[in-house]
Amino acid sequence: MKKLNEFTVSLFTSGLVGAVVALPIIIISQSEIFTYTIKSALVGVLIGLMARSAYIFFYRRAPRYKLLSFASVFSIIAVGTGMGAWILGLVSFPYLIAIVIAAEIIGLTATILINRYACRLNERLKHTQDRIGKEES
Amino acid sequence: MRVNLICTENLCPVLKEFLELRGIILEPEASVSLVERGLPLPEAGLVIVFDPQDFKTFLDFIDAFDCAPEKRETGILLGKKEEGFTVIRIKEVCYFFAAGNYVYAKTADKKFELKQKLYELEENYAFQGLARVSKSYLVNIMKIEEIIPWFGGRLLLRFKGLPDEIEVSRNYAKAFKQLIRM
Repeated sequence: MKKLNEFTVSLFTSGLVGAVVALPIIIISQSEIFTYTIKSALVGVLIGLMARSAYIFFYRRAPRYKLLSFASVFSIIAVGTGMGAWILGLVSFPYLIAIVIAAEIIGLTATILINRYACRLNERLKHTQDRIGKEES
Repeated sequence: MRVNLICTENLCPVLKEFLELRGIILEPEASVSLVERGLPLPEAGLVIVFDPQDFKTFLDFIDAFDCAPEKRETGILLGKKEEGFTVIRIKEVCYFFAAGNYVYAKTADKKFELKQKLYELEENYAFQGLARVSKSYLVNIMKIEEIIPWFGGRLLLRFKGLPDEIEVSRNYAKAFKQLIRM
């Protein structure tokens, strides 16, 4: 049940990001705000799910090549957002670029924060191992 | 402390190592004898008969005599693998886990059954870097190679020389992070 809740929260966050990223463009282009926001949120959920899975996959399978995790997240956001916007009918190139940039900023910021947290955790681990090692010897 | 150890051939090497690691000197002429149940008892001196089926009581008894604290090596356990016993050093163990009524120690290449409970190991060897990470797992911090932040505030632990990954559950993640002073 806990895992299901976590998964739901994660999907909701992705959906929210999808909606927020597309909202200014939808308003500017005077589209049907409600319908397009829902659709953008769904695209956000899909991109979030794929980016999350890819990040986990590369982080675990190739722990020495952290850049691969970042590259996978970057590519999925770029392609996913671009395709999503195109499917939803957004054909204006400048708008498309603006949406992709906004999505990349949010997605990569989250990835960088997670990665920094991982680095800090592992630094603390090494310090703890050194401390215990010294206490034992 | 000097003792005369009388036991069967398959137990002798392990017990000998175990006792010597605790600073006990083995001497056939010693006035105290440790004898495995079923073997002939010496006629003179103090005789302690032990049952190989109840090693925990025997080990607790030996540990109660702080024979030579300066010589004694801490973090020694006796593990069971198939039909034999082996001395295990805690620093060699990556993690301990409970499955059913049994507790196991997992090293880089072997798995041993132990007599101790997880909470006993946690209480007695926390100073050597053992930390509880979930209801059924106790890990050796010294053997962790990498911590991976996981979803929902959990953590994933990867070990040196072992493909296994152990999850730090959300209930234990806070205490674990405090332990590494995060």
